[in-house]
Amino acid sequence: MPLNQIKKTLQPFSVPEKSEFDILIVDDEFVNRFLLKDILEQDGYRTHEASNGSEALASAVNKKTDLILMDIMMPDMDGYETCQKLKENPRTSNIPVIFVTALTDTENLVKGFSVGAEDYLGKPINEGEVKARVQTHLKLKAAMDKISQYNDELEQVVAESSKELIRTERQAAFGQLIQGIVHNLKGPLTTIRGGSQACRATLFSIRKDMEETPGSDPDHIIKLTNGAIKAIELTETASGRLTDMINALMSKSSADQADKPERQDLNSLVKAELDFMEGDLHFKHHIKKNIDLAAEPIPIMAIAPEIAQVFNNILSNAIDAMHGSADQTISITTTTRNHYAWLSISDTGGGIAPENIHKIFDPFFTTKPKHDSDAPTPKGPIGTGLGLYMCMRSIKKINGDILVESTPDKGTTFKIKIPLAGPIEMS
Amino acid sequence: MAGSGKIHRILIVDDDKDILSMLELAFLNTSYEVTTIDHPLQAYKMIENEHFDMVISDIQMPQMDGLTLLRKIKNFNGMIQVIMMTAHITINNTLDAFRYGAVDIFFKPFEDINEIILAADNVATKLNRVNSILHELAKGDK
Repeated sequence: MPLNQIKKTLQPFSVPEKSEFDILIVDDEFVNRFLLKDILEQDGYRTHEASNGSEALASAVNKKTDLILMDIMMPDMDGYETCQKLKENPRTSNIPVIFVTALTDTENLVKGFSVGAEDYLGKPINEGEVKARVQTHLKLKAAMDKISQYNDELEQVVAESSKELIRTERQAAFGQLIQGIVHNLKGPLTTIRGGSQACRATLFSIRKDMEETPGSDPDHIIKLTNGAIKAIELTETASGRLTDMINALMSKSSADQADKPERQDLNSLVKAELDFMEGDLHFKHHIKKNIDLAAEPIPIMAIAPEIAQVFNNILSNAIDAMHGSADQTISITTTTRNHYAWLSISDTGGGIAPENIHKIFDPFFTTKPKHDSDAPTPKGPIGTGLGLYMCMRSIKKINGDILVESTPDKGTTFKIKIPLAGPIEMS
Repeated sequence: MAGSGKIHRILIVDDDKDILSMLELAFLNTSYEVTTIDHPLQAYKMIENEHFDMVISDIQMPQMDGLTLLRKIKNFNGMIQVIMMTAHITINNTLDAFRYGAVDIFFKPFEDINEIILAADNVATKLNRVNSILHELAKGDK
């Protein structure tokens, strides 16, 4: 799929017809404008005119402009200043500027190039030279535009296919977690089943005692009856636990379907993901957890599964970073500060090498071996090098940021910063 | 029930407290003295310091898994009989349990809780028989 998309994106490049190009001519002298206009229109181009710098700036913004031919010596705003202003405005900065000038000494040419001009034409103008330079720069501009379009489209394709890859990885991780989740469900089930059997057996023995030995020890009967009551109570509690676990799983799976930003409580998202991670028996049994969530709900506007994914990803990295460490402790805190929600995840692993810390959010950068039987079982997008890249994308999309602090041999802390959602609007 | 003889002491180890309570109730109308503990490291300390005839232990637990506990118990005193239980039903768990000296293994959720009591009864019968022989031997040695 992505390959087809890339092929579709990379259509063969051809320079458009001359009649597709719009050239702006800027000169305070009518005669000069007329001369250039005549040459260019004869050659097949469309032209616009401006008689001073301000007009030129307005025209370049309001009309389609592919190239600007500009005089330097103009009253009020000269060519240099006009060019500088064009280059400062993102909407016009890509339009090539050719100065048409009698000032062809080195000093003036250097000045022209330094304000961002692409080329110059010496006065008096030569028709052949005008046509040749204009054509060259238009071709170059068309090629540059195409490259920048390719770049945008390719970035889109990379983002899409990374998303696809991450989704596949998450599904695989989910598959692994299912086993653990089912294992966790068996706990209360064991109590329910065993408890009801124990209750029945106790009731049977009460009946037997009463039938076979009338007037048997009342204390013994009371002890057995209390036991039966306790067994039923245990069964009830365990079935409540089972229901809670199933409800949490169902709400998690429906939250995972969301694809639009909605008002969320960061604490609930973190709790749901931690419950889900309990399916990972290594995480459940062998990692010490210090969890300190803010007492109040933390409202954010976000797509629930994306935040869950980011949290899961950083948590999984933290668990892997502690592989083999004597002390394996994860600290998770949520707080609010200066209109932002902060989610911090710290591990006691080996830390990130200082030379790598600036690269961890780059796509395809990974410190993890991709195929190593000694490595911990991959959970989530591990070894693809896309995990943190996608995390950063998801968080930047909602105007947040991810900060990282790491001390070799001490551990790493990731801090996720997300703007707080405003108060609920009453309709 | 395991007939005459002394009252056997059983230690039940599981990190799920509800399961411990449930098993304790299942043994309510038996002659065993049942103690429960939800932490394997503490369980091992208790086994070192008190006398238990039998241990019924879960396999998946935090800090120390049940198979490690089993090996430590058998290393400490091979006479202690250990019954394993697990929700993680795999061939390896089962083979390892017997390899390290367990007398039986039960899978959660239990088919019938009474089977665990029957297994304890069988162990008790075996212990009674062996102990009476050991007792005779000890007498002869005097």
